[in-house]
Amino acid sequence: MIQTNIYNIHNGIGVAYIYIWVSKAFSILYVGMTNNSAGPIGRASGHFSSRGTFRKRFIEEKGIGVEKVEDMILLSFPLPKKQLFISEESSYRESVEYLVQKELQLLRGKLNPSYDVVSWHDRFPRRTANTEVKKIASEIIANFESVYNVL
Amino acid sequence: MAVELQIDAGRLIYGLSRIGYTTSSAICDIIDNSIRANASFVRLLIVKERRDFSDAKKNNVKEYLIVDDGNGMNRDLIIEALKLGSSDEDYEGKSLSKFGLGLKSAAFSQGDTLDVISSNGTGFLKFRVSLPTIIKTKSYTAEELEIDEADNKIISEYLQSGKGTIIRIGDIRKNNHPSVRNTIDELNTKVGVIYYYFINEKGLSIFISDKKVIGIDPLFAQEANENGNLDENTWEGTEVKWIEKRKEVTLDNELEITAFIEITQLPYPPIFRIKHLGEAKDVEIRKKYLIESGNYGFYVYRNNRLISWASHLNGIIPYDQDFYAFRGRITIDSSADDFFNIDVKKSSLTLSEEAWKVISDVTREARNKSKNAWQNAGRIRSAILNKDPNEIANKLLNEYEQIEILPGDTLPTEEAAVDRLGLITQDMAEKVKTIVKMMREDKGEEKGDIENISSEEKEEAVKGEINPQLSKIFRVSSVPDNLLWEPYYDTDLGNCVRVNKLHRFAIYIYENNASNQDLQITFDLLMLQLADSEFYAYKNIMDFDYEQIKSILWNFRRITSEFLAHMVRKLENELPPNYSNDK
Repeated sequence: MIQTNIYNIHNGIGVAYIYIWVSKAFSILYVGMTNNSAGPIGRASGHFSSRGTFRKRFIEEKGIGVEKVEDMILLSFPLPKKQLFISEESSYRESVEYLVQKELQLLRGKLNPSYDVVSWHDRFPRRTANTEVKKIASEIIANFESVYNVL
Repeated sequence: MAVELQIDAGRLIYGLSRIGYTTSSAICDIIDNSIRANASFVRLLIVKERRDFSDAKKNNVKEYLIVDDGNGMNRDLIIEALKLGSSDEDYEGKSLSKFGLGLKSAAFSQGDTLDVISSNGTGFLKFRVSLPTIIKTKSYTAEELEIDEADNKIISEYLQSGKGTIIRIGDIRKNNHPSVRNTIDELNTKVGVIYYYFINEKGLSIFISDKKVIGIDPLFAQEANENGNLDENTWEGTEVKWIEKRKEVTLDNELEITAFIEITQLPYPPIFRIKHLGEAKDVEIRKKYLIESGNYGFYVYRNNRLISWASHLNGIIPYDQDFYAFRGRITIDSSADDFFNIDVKKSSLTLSEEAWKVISDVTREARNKSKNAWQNAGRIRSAILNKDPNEIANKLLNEYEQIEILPGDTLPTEEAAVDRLGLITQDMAEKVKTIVKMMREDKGEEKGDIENISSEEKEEAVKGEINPQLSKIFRVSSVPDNLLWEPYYDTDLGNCVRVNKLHRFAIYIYENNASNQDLQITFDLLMLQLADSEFYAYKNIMDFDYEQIKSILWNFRRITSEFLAHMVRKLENELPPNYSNDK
């Protein structure tokens, strides 16, 4: 039997998340955002399915399927429960995701072990200068930095 | 047991001479040696075969002379310098040298003889290496010669101090060799960029024939310092801006290998054509900023010397005209050589996988910004050429009066009407505070004092810009709750609409369909009618109380905004202008 605690990340009703999939063994990070009603766990099915971006990128980078990874961890960061962040219109959420991803890229050489961030996409969100967006992103980064070593 | 294997010196040197130097890269490789020898000046002299022929004629160079006033060499050092794979024991950490092959391979790439005439203060000596002799004898040798009259003339003119070096590449091959003019033109730009740091910061003087080379920073960082950071959504393309200021990037944490990266956005030349009609300013700008197909990408400097001109770094910068204004600089020292594999010519490099990944990741945003800025500047140019559709939509409304009461509806009593107008006005006063706060946050500012708002700030927040041409329909960057539109009312402007131009559906209309002016005007007018309808309901529908109407209409706007965002996300590649009957 495998027991996994997901009690606090399967509820996406009225809340949205930034999440980071981490595999230290394969030096891979994948950053995402979701307002999926089943939270990051609900969103995960898309990433891990045969056409999912995460699966695709993982194979491109590491040459093996993501199912081979034994140390995969999901870190989830709830966003403020406000229309701006939970709505279908995702520009605020995307901007936080983008800033988090960018900061993680800059941190890669400083954290041990180093990693590749494989969640890039070509869209460039437009609300990255927003005070609240920046504040949330830097809180997520600080949080991530503080736990990375002990993951 | 080891067996000694023979080397055919003739074939080896011949092979080395064919590794792909251009005339300018060969000359620059020799200038590197002058810099290494602490020269304060380097002078290139070009001797023509037929002096009466024009500089524009090809195959008319007899010899190149590179003269410097550096440390110079005694007999032993000259012989060491002429060795293949000359010792790197002396190559300091910051040296420009790498393989100990540059002088020989560069010289023989252009001509058949190489003379080294040098003195470190103890008198000038001259040695010659001749490629035909080496090929004939299969042995790599140099011949010591007397200083002749031509040599003495150069020494007395440029090296009176009795110290320095003259490199002569003689018997230049007449096989499609570039003209003197082409070489001078190319070198004036290339040398200016390659040795920018030495010229501008270390006082090195380089002369190409008689002309002193001016250092050129390919990023024009000084201008970017004056103009600030790039906002790709507002940049018109007239100024150099920073995309990424100088930033240290770790390539390997354990080995403590780092590189510095900085990126600027150069001007968008087509904007100069329409801003300065008939003056061909765009041509001037292209020339000044070296904006052309071979010049966009990364300039990699190793120990302050350019080693890679406008590199696309194995695909990090795509071959795409939208990146023409992208100028990056990567600065490394010799410690990063394993991450940046440089060829003998020092003209191109291959990145290690790790370096590629780091640089690709770290510059992803910059690439997007540069491309978006270039495209946006194109849109701004179109907007100048075709009058802004938003202004046209506003203008159309100058002549338009809305229906006061629809057939079948009953006019409310005066008391009820005044009451509703009071509630609307009160709401709008609160709304102004909210949108000023949102505008400040969008600019990255703190919300600050929202009780005392200047009329300019209010206008900017309400309209998105201070523009008297806009009287009813305002394209703004933020709307409360990030909805597509919201009604706005004040006594000066009357009923208006604020359209969230960063909402996904608005981006689709305004940006993806930027060339469709009619669609944009129609969309702006539709938005105003929706807002006007809302005010009509507030003022005239008395079956529900004001708060109920407000809640229903807010929910209607929320649902519509969400549905439209969802639709565009799902059908992104199918909607016009991408739509086609074939799909």
